[in-house]
Amino acid sequence: MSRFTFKLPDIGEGVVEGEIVAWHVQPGDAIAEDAPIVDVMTDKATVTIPSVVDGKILETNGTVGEMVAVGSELVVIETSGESPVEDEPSQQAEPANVAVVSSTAVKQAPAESKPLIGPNGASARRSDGARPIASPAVRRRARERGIDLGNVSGTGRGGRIVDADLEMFAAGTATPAASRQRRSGTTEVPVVGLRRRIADKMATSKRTIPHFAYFEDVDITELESLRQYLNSAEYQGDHEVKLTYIPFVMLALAKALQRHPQCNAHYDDQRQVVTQHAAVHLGIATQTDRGLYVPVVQHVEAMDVWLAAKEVVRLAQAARDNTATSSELSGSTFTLTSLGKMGGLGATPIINYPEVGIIGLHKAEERAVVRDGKIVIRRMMNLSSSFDHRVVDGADGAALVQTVKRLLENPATIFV
Amino acid sequence: MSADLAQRDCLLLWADCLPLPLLDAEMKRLQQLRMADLICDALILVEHPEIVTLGRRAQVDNIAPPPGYETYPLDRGGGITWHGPGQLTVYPIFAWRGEPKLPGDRNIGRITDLLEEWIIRALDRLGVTANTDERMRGAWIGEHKIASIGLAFSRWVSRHGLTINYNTPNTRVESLACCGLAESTTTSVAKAAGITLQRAQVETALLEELPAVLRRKLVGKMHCDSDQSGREIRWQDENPSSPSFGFELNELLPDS
Repeated sequence: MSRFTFKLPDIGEGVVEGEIVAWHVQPGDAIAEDAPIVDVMTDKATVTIPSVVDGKILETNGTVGEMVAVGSELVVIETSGESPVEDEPSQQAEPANVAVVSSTAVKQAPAESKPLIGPNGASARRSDGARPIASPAVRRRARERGIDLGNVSGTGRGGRIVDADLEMFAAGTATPAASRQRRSGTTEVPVVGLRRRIADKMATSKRTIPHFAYFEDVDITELESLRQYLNSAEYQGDHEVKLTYIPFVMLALAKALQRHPQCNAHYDDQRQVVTQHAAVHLGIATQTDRGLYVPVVQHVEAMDVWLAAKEVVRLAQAARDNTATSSELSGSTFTLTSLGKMGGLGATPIINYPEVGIIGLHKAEERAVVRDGKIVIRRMMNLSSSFDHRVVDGADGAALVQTVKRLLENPATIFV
Repeated sequence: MSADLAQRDCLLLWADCLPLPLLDAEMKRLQQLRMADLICDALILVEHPEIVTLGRRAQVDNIAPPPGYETYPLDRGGGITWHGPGQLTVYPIFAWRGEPKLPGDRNIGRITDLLEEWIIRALDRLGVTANTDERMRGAWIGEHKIASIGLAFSRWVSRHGLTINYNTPNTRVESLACCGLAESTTTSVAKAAGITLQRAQVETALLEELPAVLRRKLVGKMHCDSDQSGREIRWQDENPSSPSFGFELNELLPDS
């Protein structure tokens, strides 16, 4: 007998998690190879994940409605003979494993799929500290509004939190059971591993470097037209990546840093030497489920926009898969940070020590702006930046950002 | 052959109007056949009598349409979706895997991107400018969503697909909070763009863009006469002498 741990396989570039929508098995069930284990839902698709071995289900992890990350353990199966992988390290989700999927028809969600709370669900509070049940959209909206779903009682089926519950909570009319109960106890979370390294590095940077911040808005209407065109099938051809704003900003930044070399530098404050770099190696701050990673795209100055896009996707995925090499995670000369759709209006990014500058991208949106005395709608994006004021003067930092702005507003100039 | 030029064979299955539950069962059957490599990729073009389907999102969120709409639960992703006259439903039963690797293979996000691109390019051929929108997957004209996507995969073979509302009646779509969007957000091309299209135009445009966007080439066409009885679907080859696909689809009806 051996134990086989089955992890959620990779179901596509950029898909880092899915929501469990139906279990086809429960502990104690016999499972045949290829038989469906679980249905997982991403944005607009459900995927049936089948077993890759014969055996008996020992454990299932995650309840219906719960988000599970790619690579997290889904089930433990007791196999009678040799298992393809003994317990650990179980398959780190080779894409081939998704080839996977069941050879039998997808079933409807089993109605009995174990709700987290009482059968009626309504207004019940989770006393066991279990993760609240809510859809990704509701979770996102809760995050955006700073609402802790643990404090919201769900009135949907099985205690699921729906939009109306969020509204009720936000309006302060949440049912008493949810918000007015006293709570006690604390939870200690050890700061170890990557988290500690992040903590140390951030503290060193913020403690050592006198940051100054600078903000600017950029009219990216023209850039958006170009981006849309390059992403259209007419132009895109066989490029496998879709262009976001990031590769354009990378190229603009590489060009701008050439003109402002004092910003593409490391400052060794022990020796009091600034080392300016001819090459532009851009750190791209990337959120992973293990914390913040900064994979490095090397020699952006020698890249075209497609290559830059491809490298960002590849490295971000490698960071998330934990397959990035140390050389791919070090050696940056300047850092770019973007929170994507959570970009907000502005931020004061912390410099990636010992670099001397960092630029943050914020949400792109249509805004009413004044052009030639008239109010017009333009697509706008804010940039925020921080510089090391010991070695970068305010005027120099501002000049770099202004150069980036001009390049992005006149995107053809990025390429000439 | 390089992936640049590669295309996979695709069989067009066309029906005038079929009840959705009947077609749902047929899609499952075809998916089984495709998973076993007994058929090539198949593309179904059909319209349904009015019905509102509840995707997994709607089911878990316990969302239902107002009274007066017949509903049917489905195992695709997505929320509630209206189906009915004036809406073309397009179901690609495609294997998103194989050699050489094509765009979209084994990549759900990219597949959805491609389906959006397909809709937008087809509509562009008809003088309708649609776009993607960060608010939700699908195709949008300004503030209005006119096409939706919802898929289910097994062994990288897709089932379900997309809908394009080209000219839906009255306010049947607009009265629903489709996919969780506010009422009146989802509408039709006719209402959003003021352009009245015929179903055949939309189909032709989609098929013209099929090779470029989805890299499938049509190798045959079969049709199914309307069957309101909800009993059985039988496909008839429009060109029986064609050797394009060496099997009799109907002979592969499931044992059940």
